[in-house]
Amino acid sequence: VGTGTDGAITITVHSNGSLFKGNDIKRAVQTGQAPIGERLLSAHQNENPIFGIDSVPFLATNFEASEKLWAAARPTIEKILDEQNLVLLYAVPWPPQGLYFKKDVNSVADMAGVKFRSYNTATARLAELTGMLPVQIEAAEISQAFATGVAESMISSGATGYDMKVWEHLTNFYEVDAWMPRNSIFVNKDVWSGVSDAHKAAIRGCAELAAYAGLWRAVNYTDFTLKGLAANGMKVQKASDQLQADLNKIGETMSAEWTAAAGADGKAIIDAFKAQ
Amino acid sequence: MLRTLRRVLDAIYLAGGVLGALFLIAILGLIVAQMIARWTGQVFPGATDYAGYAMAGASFMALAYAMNRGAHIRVNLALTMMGGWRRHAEIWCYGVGAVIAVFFARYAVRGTYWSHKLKDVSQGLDATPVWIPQLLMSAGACLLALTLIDQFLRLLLSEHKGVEGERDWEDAPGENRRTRYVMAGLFLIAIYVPVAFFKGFAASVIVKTAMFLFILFFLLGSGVWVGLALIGVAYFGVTGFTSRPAGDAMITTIWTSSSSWSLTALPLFIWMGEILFRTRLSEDMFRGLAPWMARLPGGLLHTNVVGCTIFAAVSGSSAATLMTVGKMSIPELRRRNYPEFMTIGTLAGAATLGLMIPPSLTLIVYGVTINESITKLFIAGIIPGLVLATMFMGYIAAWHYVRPDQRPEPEPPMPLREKLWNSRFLGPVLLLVFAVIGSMYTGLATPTEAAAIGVIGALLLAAAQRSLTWASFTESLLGATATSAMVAFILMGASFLSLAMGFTGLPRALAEWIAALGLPVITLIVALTLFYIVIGCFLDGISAVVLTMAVIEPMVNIPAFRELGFSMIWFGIFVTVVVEMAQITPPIGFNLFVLQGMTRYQMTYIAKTALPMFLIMVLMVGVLVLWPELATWLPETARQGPGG
Ligand code: NA
Ligand code: NA
Repeated sequence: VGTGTDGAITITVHSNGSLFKGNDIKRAVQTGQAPIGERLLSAHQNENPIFGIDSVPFLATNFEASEKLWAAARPTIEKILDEQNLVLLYAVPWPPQGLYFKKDVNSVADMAGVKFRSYNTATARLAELTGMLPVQIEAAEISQAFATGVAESMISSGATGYDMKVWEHLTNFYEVDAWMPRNSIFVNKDVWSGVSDAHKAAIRGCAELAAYAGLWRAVNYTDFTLKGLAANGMKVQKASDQLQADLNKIGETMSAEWTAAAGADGKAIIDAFKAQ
Repeated sequence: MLRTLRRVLDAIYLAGGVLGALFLIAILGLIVAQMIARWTGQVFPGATDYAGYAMAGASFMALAYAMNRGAHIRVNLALTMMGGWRRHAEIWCYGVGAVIAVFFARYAVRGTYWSHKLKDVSQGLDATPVWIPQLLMSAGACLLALTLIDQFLRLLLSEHKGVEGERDWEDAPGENRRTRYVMAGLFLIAIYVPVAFFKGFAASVIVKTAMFLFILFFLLGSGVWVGLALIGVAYFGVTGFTSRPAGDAMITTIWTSSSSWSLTALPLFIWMGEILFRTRLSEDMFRGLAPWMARLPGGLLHTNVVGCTIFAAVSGSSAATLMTVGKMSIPELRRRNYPEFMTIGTLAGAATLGLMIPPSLTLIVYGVTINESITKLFIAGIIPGLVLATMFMGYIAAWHYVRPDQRPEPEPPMPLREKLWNSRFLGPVLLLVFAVIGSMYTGLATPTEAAAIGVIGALLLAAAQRSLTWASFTESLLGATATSAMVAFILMGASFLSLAMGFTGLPRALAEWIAALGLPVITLIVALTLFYIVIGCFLDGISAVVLTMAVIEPMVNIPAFRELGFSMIWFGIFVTVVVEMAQITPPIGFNLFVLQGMTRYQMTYIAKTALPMFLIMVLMVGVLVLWPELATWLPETARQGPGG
């Protein structure tokens, strides 16, 4: 960005919540406490179910479908963000979410009673539908919780598991590709309107580049981390047909519930996505 | 008229404290309910979020109450040197305090209003509109501002001397109203000028940094309460280095940090200590331990160390450990003619184990600040705590052989059967230790849940001993509420300061600069030890941790450290040792203050008796550097424990 705007605008990255914590980033950018920020919008689905479009389980289960879903949802999300004083620049998919267990799981019936780390309403609902027991664990305590059996399962990306060295406590990773959450990068609208058109174009250009690079990186990193999990002794595998069928059924339930909650806008997105 | 107003105001502050105490009980209820739900396979959605709100409620509502109880801490060294001019210095403190508190309250209300307007909703399972729990923040912040203005005006207009516990001074004979007004006016100008000057202030980063540090040291050094001083200096950090709205950013950060669920362990462990202090536990511990210690070289002095070690395993603070153990051991050791120098010194030093052996308030604060697992930190503290206790006992044994002239009459021998029979007095406390540490180690409970188990255990123990009365219950509850509000307030200020530090970019620049120097890791650790010893002379442990971690973490959380075994878990234990030292170094050392109150000795004398213990702790830093596994091994094995 610095180069594209001849140094008029530079971006200093404060990573890993070193400035505002993740939960606060949207609010901080909305109210001008920070000019630009990055956040998994699906975390805000309590506020508006539409934000959760990228986390509806088993709706878009590969990078291609994820891009299509995003193309269908983007105008609506841009509109909602605009009402919240935010301008969406771009969004990058995160690696797909798979299921971690400490035993073999071949069907949803095998999941009954497993303590499942759920961190929001959607993951709690997923636990409920699969017969698992949702438990709430602070991010910092997760690996301790797995070690001591306070939690026995989670849904997360291969990357998260790899960073957590999850193989120290868990044994199985199922590549169910439940969803690909998106990290959205947005700017405060007042700040954005103060930027000249030429600079806006330069930043939009950078954004497209970054979105492309981000997607490419997510694809490659997924591959790398899954190999890493396997190299450290975890069973990394696709779901059995039975498991996949069970999960797809739950996915349909949750899609229907999501559509009901998200109203006409939500239905329009799903229809547009299915039409592609 | 005035008297009615006074009574109404005092009633409002007390009501805030009582409400805070009720929220503390709510935390306990929520944690217990959630724990039982998990054990029985039930689900209690949002329990942790509600516990977080209750935590915010307990902290904010009790801010003003804690202020009036004199629970908020500050560096009062300069204040005590003011002599007859103390009133003017206090006018400064309350004046600055009131200005900062009004700023805080204004933005708390504004932040709550904006949460309502933006329809901000909790991201957790509870999906609560954020403004509802934030009303507690607004109300509490307004109460704090009110009480500071109240105190400021009373200092200015009457012979009132400020909050409880800070009234041991007399006005100079010539002191009069006019000098007070002139001073107050000057102070307000002194506050206004930098505030106006710092906005959009153009200067080099070095000049700004120097001013930032000056304001930090000046606010803290002049006796402004730590939490308020941190907010004040962070304000200058944000306005001086960025064009961001300081107040809004402050509230965003403070709300998140103060409504955190992992923080709920803090008030619960404090409460547990308060309950146990009011039981017969200290007498029982002495009776159970004394027969076993009597024949060791150094005799009953060991009851100080062993008693502190055991009590440390149920108490998170050094002061609580000191008071509980000292209540019994000081009179008993005196009666048996042990030299005061040894009695006082070993007690002052050993009580600091309260911070190292889990549970530990220092480690909770450290873990929350750098987002590290509190369970792991707790487990990491066990071995170093026991090593340190052994070293303290070694010192006592050495005294026994070096100074045979000081040995008191040996205790009459006691048959083994009687010794064993006397050990029954240790039963309840050991049971409590196993419940608290055992539940965490086996994964039956998280640290917060272990704290809840501890509170209930302590209440049962008190009930069994018939020392649980309505008076002792409410005293312990209100005391814990005030203390935890004090700690929470420091954490709030620190979270804002750390945001400000992030905006300034100073920690990162400093870390890069240090990395560029290419110093050996050992040199850096020695430098950090000296640094912490120096600031530990002036700051209490928790303030020292929260104030420095924003700057120190990027410096030490690097591969070069980790490769040598100095992980952030290890660093937590290192910080705990240096914080332990801070408890016994003058001029500001909590254990020194507590012992001064208990024994009426001069602080310089108490500090002298504690010097050997201080040196042992310096040695302990060396031991930790040589064998980092002492801290890191146990959490690693616990990780591969029951889970396989
Ligand atoms: Na302790
Ligand atoms: Na000190």
